[in-house]
Amino acid sequence: MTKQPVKAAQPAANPRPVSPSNSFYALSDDEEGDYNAITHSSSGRGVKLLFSKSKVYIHPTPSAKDNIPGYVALLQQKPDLDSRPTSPSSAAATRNNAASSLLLAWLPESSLGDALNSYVKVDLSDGDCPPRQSYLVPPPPTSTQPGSLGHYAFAIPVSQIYSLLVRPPSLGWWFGSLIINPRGGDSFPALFFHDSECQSTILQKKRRARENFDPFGANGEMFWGGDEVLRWLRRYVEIERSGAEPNIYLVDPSAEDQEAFSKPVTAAVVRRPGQGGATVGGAAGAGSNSNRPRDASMDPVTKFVKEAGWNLMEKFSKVTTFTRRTAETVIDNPKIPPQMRRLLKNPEVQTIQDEFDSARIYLARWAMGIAEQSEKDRNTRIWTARDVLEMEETGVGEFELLDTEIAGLSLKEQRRPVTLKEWNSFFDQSTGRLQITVDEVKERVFHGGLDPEDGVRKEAWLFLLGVYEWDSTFDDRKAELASLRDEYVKLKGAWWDRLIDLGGEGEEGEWWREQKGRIEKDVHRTDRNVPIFAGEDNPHPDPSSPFADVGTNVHLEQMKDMLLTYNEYNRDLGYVQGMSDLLAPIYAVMQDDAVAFWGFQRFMERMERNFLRDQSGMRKQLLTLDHLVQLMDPKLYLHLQSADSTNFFFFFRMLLVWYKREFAWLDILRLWETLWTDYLSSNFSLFVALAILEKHRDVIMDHLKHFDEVLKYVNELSTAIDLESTLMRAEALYRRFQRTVEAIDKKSNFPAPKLRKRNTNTSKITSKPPTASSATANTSGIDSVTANSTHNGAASSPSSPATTTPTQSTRDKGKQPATEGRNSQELQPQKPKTISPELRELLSRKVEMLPRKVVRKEGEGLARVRSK
Amino acid sequence: MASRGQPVSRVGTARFAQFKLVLLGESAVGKSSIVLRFVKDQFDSYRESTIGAAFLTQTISLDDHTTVKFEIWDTAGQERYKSLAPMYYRNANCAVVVYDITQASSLDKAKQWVKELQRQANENIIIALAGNKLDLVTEQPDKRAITTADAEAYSREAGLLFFETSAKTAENVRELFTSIAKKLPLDQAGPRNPRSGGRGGVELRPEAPGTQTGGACQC
Ligand SMILES: Nc1nc2c(ncn2[C@@H]2O[C@H](COP(=O)(O)OP(=O)(O)OP(=O)(O)O)[C@@H](O)[C@H]2O)c(=O)[nH]1
Ligand SMILES: [Mg+2]
Repeated sequence: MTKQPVKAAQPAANPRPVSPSNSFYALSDDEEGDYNAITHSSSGRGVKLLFSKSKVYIHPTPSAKDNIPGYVALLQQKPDLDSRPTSPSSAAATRNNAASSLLLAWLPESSLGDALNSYVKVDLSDGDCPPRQSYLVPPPPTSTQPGSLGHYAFAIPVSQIYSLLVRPPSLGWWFGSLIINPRGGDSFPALFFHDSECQSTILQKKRRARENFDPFGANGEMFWGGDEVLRWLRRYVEIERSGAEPNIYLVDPSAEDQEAFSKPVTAAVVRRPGQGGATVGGAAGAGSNSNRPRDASMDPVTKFVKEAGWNLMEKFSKVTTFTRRTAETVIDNPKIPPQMRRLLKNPEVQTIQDEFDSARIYLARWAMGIAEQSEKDRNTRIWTARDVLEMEETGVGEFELLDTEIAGLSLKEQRRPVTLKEWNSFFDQSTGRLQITVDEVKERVFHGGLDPEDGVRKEAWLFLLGVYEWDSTFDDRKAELASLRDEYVKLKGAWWDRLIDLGGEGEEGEWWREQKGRIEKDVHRTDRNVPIFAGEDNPHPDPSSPFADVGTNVHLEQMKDMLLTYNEYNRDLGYVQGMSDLLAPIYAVMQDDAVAFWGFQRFMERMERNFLRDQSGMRKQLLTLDHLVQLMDPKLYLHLQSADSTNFFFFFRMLLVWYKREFAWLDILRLWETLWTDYLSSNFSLFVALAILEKHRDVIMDHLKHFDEVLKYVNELSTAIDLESTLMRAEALYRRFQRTVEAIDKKSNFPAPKLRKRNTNTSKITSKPPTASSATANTSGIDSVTANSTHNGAASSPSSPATTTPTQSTRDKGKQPATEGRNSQELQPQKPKTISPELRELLSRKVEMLPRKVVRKEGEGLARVRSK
Repeated sequence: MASRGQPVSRVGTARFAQFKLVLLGESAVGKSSIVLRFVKDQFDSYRESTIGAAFLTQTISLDDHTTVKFEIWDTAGQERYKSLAPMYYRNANCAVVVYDITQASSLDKAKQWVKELQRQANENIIIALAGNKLDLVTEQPDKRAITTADAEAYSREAGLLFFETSAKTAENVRELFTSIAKKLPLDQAGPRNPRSGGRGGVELRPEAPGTQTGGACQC
């Protein structure tokens, strides 16, 4: 468990930089004349930008790619003259006035336009000194309701803020966040402070470190961006920290509120000039241990929730419930105040949850988002034994240990991309012959990938795809290319002839026209967000096309030509939806239709099986995955069984088009070149599947109970999977798999093995696929555990010939009671295992290609039409 | 969760019902676009083709007391993936069969789907026919390949609900789902509902009715 980073600060003991005079700021409004006012608003009117902070994000979805960067800002409007307090000597009145003339806003970077410059300057100005200039910016439209101003942007008068929900960051775990709860209505979306990107926060942190020799301050809280917001607000309004719920800060609370949030509210009232230094610390800012809430039975949370409704509750749960062990269900989380827990159990609220589209899935995804972020952060740190121990303590078990395993592999060197220069150095400069072994090349590509920028892919992919022979010379390749170009032109000619009579008569003509229509439809919706496929400035060459109105571009037209040519070339199969996804990256890299065509054609040789009418190729892969999970993670398997999900259908899309829809464009290129190497297995794609599954196993096991939930969850992982760590995990899993198989094989050769002793030696790897020695050393400890349990299982019935293959148990799965997975006694595989042929194939590096007659029979191409 | 496994539940006087809906129809007629419009009120003209299937949910209120949640299975349209369809329409309470009013052949495909559903799916399944891309003919009437009258006549004959829709402009999309919800047996909680005897989920047996591929797979 991570300890809560929030600790009450001891104001007096906290030597923070001194705040400027409060009154100075409160009164400065009318004294613009004293400043060199700069305005960027064309109208010349504007509001004064007092404070801004960059890199404050909204996370509309759990996927980091949807995050919207923006500025949080404190702005001062000119108060209406007639609303000015008549008696400015009254401190309270001044304060009220300040609160109503101040706006707290969040504005997306993209919306700032000309004003951006001012926001940047104010952000970077030294906030501890009185500003020399005042910056006027266009007034943001105010709102007291989230969402009322279009997307996410908001500006709320400070007087309308009821409270702030503050969550300081936890190093390596989550971003600090702040949620604004208005006096009426729903709360605003959480603002996440990406401090590591924010120049001003970095500078402030540095200064703090310089001045105090300690970035963490006296009490161990880390300084973060949200502190600044609180500090600035405190200059104008009272901010009081709730005693009952220390993450809640009340803004100018009424007596009643103070009551509700349990008296005495911890004294955050120290905002006076001169004392300011004591209050700026941590989000914890104020609060003191001596002021414990007197009456814990009061029910501030319920009141809080009632006012803000479900919307807030959802956000509240986001920021309060995720502990280190992310997969806890919300309701069981001990961090949830009892009031909240009661509320969550209330039937009415449960209905809301249902309406809210399966809150469980939602929360599960959110949990993963956090876990992912932390994984990224963690990968940048160096592992220590303590980290590992800590992890084991949390009982997260296998899943996290797997990560450790990987950390060992993560040698920076190994994973450095292959540049064009390095690539060329593999070849003899005069003949162009490869002068290192093919495996050495493959190892480099498998681990490092190819440089995305320098064009090495254009050359290297042709080798990986098999267009070029590995042992060819410059001259061979030149000749090969020339002949392939000729052949492409010929093939293309074949369907060009058809164009004349639009495919011709009868069923064959019908088939051809349908195929052409399909290709056209699909090309127009394939990777259109990738720049080369985006344009639509060319008029469509065929005015009768359904796409005649939208226009096209040369690359789309090339795509259509290549796919039509392939349709002609492989008539047994024909074009099938999904193929356009497979061609697009190859074409985009080659940008030469003939070359890309042949690269695609080679790729299709291995992918063909996925596109058969009877789905036999897909079924086989899903079945192999079934066996693999059964062997490698029986607990997860039992859970999936209880959730009716052992068909593994939720991997259909991923396997069909090799994760094309799951990763961002550049990641696809990297993933595919890795898979094309067949360095460890020609079916490494299944280990990628296992790696994805393993990463999410805890969430799946804790939250997802039905097939549809699993499918939805997995579908929605799209573009939210981190590739590099997935590849590392996949490799570690492959090696563990390999050793498990070896151990089982050895067992069957030697009927009564000395298990424990053997164990220490099993980490030796056979010569089959080449092994990275560092990986072996690092993973052996874990592997032996797996191998060991397998041995024990086998030892219990050493002579039994009736081994249960995974295949058999799969067939039986329908009959098994759904509750079985819950019983931990049954979690360990009970029966000895043999390795199914499907699993054994995974050890092979040879790409299996379909016999032509299978394609002819099960393709849906021309042969089929003709035989009707 | 409340209402899991119980199609209709009551909280106070409110009714909450949950139904499984499947979308079928030829590729590119706009199935995913209709769902996206219904669920997120968005339209994306570069939307990718569907591979496998997508699962989405959306809840609508029929009146002050009645809330209906649709669990929507959006399928891939190409013929090649047809053998997967039975696992989606098995146990479906309702189906939307979509065609493109500017493509004559797409209605033929739709009719095949209707036939298959009526033969193989849940006996009481409610089927709606949706002629999509209405916006295209509003701009250019000569693009229409299937008249409203023809499709209407067919729907009446086959006992289907019928709408012409546009995922692009949102026209009739909500109406389509609302009218389905109104026809669903909201009061038939209990054993008659296919959902009640344990959660059906999706049936993935390859030997499910309607496939001609039995035996191909040993799983
Ligand atoms: N003008 C217009 N275009 C539409 C409409 N609905 C869908 N489209 C377009 O038609 C194309 C296909 O739409 P999809 O929703 O992906 O079709 P689908 O039926 O889901 O296709 P598959 O997933 O291949 O089965 C896309 O380019 C959409 O933008 C509509 O109502 N009007
Ligand atoms: Mg679709």
